[in-house]
Amino acid sequence: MLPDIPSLIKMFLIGPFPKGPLGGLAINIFLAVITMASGFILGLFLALGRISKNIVISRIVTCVIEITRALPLLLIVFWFYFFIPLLAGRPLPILLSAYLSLTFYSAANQAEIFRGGLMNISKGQWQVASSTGLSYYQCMIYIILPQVLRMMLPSFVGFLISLFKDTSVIYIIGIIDLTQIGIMLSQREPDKLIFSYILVAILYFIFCFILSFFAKRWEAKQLKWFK
Amino acid sequence: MIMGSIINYEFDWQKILSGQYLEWILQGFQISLSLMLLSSLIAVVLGVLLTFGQLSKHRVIRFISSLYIELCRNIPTLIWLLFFYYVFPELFSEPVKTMLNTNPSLNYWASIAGLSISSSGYIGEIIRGGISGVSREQVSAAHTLGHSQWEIWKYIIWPQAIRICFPPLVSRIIHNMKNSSLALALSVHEIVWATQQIESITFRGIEATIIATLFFLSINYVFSRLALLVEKSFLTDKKLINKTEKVKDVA
Repeated sequence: MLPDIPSLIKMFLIGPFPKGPLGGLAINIFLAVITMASGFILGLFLALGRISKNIVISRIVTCVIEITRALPLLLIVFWFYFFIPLLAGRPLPILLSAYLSLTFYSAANQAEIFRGGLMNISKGQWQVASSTGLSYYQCMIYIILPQVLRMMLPSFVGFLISLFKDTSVIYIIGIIDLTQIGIMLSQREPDKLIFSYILVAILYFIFCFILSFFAKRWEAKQLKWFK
Repeated sequence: MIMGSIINYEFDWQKILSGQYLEWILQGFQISLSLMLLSSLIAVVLGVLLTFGQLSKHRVIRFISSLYIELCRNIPTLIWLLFFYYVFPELFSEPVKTMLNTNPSLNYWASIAGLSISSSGYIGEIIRGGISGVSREQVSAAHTLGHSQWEIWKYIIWPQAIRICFPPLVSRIIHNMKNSSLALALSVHEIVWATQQIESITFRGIEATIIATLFFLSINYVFSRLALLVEKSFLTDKKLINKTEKVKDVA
């Protein structure tokens, strides 16, 4: 019994969801969004650690960031897959393991974006802000960060796009994401092989294209703002 | 308790660094390296061609190159690899199809094709960015002075464009090198594949992962050092630096 086209497309979008775990494109979007968010917060702390005046902290954080950025996402995923169970003494659920590794990866990359923004803000702003009596944290939250965010917004969106594409890697540890569904369908029904890969590519394309369209518009707006 | 479980794990390097496993690892180094270098090289060549396509006077060529770039940038590398491995042979008729499907190195060449195509879109954009960073006035000035189109490219546009686009180009190539690990999905016998294989046979995943990690770290380190060296010795305008230093001194 061959499934009909609408139910196939539903399979690609949300996987075997109501009956089984969430999958398909939905899991890619879900993972990309939540790891972007948690990586954003962790990345901010990493960036602050890297530019910190305490040499020990900044050395350690620099090492962590550089090593993470030098490794392929696939290896980071394997590290979490093999190493965390060893620490915890029992295997993690694969979704959690994927979440942790993607968060780590996105934190290291977003830390570099934050650092780029922080470096671009002149020392004078810090001095003026602290001379008006703001503490380090007030200065950070009210003066520096809003500017960094505005300046780096295109980079963050660019990274979100790349993170979304990179989530396709997690099928390797057995999550039924969009890629995995494409592979499964093409193996089960060889006559739908071309159809399933083209559909996967189109779904990825549409999402990334929409995101990059908005990124370009924001960038144009921002250029105007700086003029 | 956490420390306890770390200490309880006994590393067994002997087992991994001998016999068949060592062979897999060494073969993995070799194949990974060749994937990285070959695909980066092809990607740069394609990227340069794309740049010319985008700057072309013909509207059709421009459209095709921008469509190509959008496709490269918006479809994950992994999907490109799978596409070249599974779908590409299907596009041909019978004799060619069986020939491709029975070719034992199809997975290797499919990974090269996928990696280089998905990077070439980015590289094309980067090079175009470098070229558009060269001011138009210089080109028109050179025209008025009677230089030919070829001379303008050779002496005025390229030297400056390369300086502008070298750092992002290097980081893109490093990204491409990291992406070469995705060839695991087509079971190309590269280093991460060796890791997985060793894990599934001996359950010594950690040691193997450490080896793969060190491999990627050293490749990354060596390549970025080399790039820095090239940038410092060939691509930096020493006069410009002296000037900026003088300006700083005055300030």
